[in-house]
Amino acid sequence: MASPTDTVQLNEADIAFLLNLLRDASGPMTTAELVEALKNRKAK
Amino acid sequence: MSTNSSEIVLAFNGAKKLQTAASKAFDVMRLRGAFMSENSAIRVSLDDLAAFIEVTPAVLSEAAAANPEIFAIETTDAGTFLVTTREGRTPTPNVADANHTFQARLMTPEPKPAPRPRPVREVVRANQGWATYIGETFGGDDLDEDFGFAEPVVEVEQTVIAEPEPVVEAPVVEVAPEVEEEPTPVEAVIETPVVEEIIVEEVAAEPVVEEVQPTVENVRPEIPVFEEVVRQPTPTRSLGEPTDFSDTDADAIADALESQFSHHAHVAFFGGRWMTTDRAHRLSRGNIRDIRQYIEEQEQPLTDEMLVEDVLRVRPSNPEYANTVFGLNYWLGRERDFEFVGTRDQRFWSVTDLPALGTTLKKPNDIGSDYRFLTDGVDPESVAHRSITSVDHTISFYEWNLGLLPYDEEMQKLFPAPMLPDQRSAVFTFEIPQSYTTYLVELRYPTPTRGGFILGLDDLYFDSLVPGAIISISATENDGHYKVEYLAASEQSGRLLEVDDKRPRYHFRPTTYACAVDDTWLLSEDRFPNLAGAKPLTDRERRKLATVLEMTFERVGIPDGDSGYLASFEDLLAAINIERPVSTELLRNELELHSDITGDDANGYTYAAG
Repeated sequence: MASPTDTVQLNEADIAFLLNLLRDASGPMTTAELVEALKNRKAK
Repeated sequence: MSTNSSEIVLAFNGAKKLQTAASKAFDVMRLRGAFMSENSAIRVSLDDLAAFIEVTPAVLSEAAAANPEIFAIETTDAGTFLVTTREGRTPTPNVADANHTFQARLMTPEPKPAPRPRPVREVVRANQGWATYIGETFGGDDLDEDFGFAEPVVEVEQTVIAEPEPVVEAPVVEVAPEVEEEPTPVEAVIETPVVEEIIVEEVAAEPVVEEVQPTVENVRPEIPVFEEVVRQPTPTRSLGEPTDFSDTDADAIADALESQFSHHAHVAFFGGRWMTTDRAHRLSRGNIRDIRQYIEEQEQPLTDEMLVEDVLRVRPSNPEYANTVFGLNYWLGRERDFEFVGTRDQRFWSVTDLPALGTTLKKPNDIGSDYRFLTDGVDPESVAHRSITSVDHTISFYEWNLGLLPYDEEMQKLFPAPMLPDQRSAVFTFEIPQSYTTYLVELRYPTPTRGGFILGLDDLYFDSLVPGAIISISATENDGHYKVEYLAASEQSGRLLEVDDKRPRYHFRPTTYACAVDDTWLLSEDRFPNLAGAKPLTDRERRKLATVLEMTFERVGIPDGDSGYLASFEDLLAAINIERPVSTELLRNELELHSDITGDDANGYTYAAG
């Protein structure tokens, strides 16, 4: 788990998750929406 | 066609009774076909005709049968008909012979030429490791015919056998030398030790036999066998475990997204919005040309939403509206001739050769040089943009004359940072509720050598304000839209300083204004009578602040009787801002540094000229 102070690195699984997220979206997504989706991914 | 109706005498065969019936029948039929051509078929029902000439159908049939060169009998679904012609001959089908017409000769293609002999193709034997798939992609016969290849003169039938393991180093095909000398059909058995092993081990039911056809001169050379290639299975690529960002700072994730994800080949990123590139609405070259023309016609930057609605004709009610707006921003951002001059919430686009907003009295670069002092000691990275909601500002003469606002530290906190890394300017809308007008203004962001400023307020200043007026600029939720208000006051009149454009001189003109002013910045004739008729400084003189300060002393100072001038700090500040923008701190610093100037704020400053 990335700590709050670390420099965040996106790995290939994260990139794939984000790409799927964008493909499934009905329109453009904001950065805040992507951030929220990444933070809530574990819970889902 | 002939219609000669002359009498024809025919001799009928058969018994007398049949001859009479035939003769009557012919006369009746000839009358029926009186207006027909000589060789057209005259067709009459056998029964009707027999009844008409008062014989039985059988007699009439016999009469017709006895004269086959004159009559013919046709039997159809409609009944039996007796057929003849006016010439008294059995009708023959009148079909034009089209077997050898000129048209047919032109239109009928030449018969397919005999196929060229097919060259003997070398059978390529691949290592088994390469033989992953042999499909029917190319149909052999059809393809050969299309390209004019026919069956080979010499066809060597060969049973291709999968290469065995281990590697076969000996030639697979061997033909005995005497075969070349033997023109008679030869059946050769290829004997290769390794192949024989294969036959035994893998395809024992099908021995390897080469049948060599009569002509065997073109015996193919030895075919080398490839080294065995051991193919490793492709490892399944693992994407790894997804990172848990649940406790990670959102800003850090956002930074990571923009730095690591925005450059992905399949990702379109613009202005904090994301899409996949294949879903972002694409612009054709025609769209881009129309957008450019539309901006040029309007002579001002336009927002993405205006362009989508007016040029691309996509309405906000259209489900594709959001994608189209995003696509326009994303693809215009990749066009060289377009310049993004908007903000995150209000995305303006301009074209390269569009006239600049604002004053034409001075070049933007010169104005930026005048404001260079704003960048001194200010770290652009440390400014918290959009951290305050309003700024009050008193307009100097320099700003009023050119329609400007300085992009000082306070303004930087009010306005957003450039949205794009290389963005040089941004267009904002300034709404003036008191006059129900909205102006487009342009913010020129500071560079290392030039200060930032906002231009485009000429009309507002000239119509409603005077130097010294206090305005308040308030932010709205839209980071590209601001409200500007000024303090209204009862109408006042005075002779205020202006620049005569026709004759570059300062002069005082009677002016009526209805806004509250800071009197220390008001340049009236009562206050500075010596400015009347003064010439503006040249660019060379203006460049040096000390020179401008000395000239200001001479213009507004009171002679001290010893070739010096005495002036208050407020007068110096207001007057020096006629020629170039000078802040309070800058002026105070220059007063301290100047060797010929002495004094302080309380007692005024003295400039010992000459």
